[in-house]
Amino acid sequence: MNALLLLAPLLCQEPAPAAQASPARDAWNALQKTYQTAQAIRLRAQVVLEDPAADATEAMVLKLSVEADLMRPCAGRILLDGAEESPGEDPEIIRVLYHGNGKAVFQLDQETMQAVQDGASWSECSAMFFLSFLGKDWAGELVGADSVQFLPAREDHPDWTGLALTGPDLFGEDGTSTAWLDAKGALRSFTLPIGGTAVLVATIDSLELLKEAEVKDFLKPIPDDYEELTFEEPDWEEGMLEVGADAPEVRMTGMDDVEFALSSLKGKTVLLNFWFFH
Amino acid sequence: MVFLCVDLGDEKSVIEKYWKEKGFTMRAVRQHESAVSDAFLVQAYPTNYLIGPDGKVLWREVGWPPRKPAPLRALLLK
Repeated sequence: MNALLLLAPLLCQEPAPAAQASPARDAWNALQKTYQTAQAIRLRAQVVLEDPAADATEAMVLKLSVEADLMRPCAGRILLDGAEESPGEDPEIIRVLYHGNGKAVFQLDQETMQAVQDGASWSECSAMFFLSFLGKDWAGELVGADSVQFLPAREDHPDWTGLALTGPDLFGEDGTSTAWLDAKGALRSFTLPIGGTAVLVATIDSLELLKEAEVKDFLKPIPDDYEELTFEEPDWEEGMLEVGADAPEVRMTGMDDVEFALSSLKGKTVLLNFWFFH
Repeated sequence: MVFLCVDLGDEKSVIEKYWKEKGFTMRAVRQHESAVSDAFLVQAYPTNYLIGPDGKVLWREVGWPPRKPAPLRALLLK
């Protein structure tokens, strides 16, 4: 999963397909525009990531309280209260800088960074994963929606407008995200499918637009013991075998337990898909 | 054209179950102690390599779906 997490920012940078016009899409575009043109936002949200595995012991539910002040183009402070492994643990402050080019730079203390790099800390990984998208585009461009449709009104909030956004999810699989806007047009809930089975639900307590001055005091110098962790598109292909190189001599074992050499398939075109389940 | 899904190190039963659930028809293969991944210098998953009939690398990319599908499509249609 760690590798998938690392890939996610890369995959979602695919250009969104051309969109068709509709009143629902207009509502979504207006919402995106509101936040994309805002100077700063203050976000209070509950984020739940549910990953129901086929095997119940592998199922995962991650709950986070997120408080974030994000200022365009480059700064913010995010307070995370993770409730994955040790509920009630002290909230941690993770400093996040957003560069004008959409790059999110996370400044973490060394212990937290090591945990993130090792993939040991789901709460930090997932929070940063979520926030890197939110911070990059705020409420916009979270999904490259091919189509936007209105949802039926919900009983608990009959005055809210629901939008179903259909398009590729963060892992490129088909999915439908939902966005709920309150009567004032503010985003109150966001549901994002991730990789087919997992679902990220952000219940937004408040998402205010702020003036720059209101978040200026978060722009404090970074302590010396903080290191930068950048979520930008790495060149994963660097160091791989080049096009034109000879495929190495390797042996594999089929599901029938018969071992064979890759070279035994010479004369055929072979697509090797490297994957893992766990 | 041979489509091989090279598993990193899952139990055979896990792969079988997943294939059955998904109804996959492509071939899954296993490797000994990531020997194949290492030989192909795989750094992230999923990674895909297209090997030509001459045994040379035609195309490779990390991630799915392909970010540059056009060259892949052209290669596959050759």
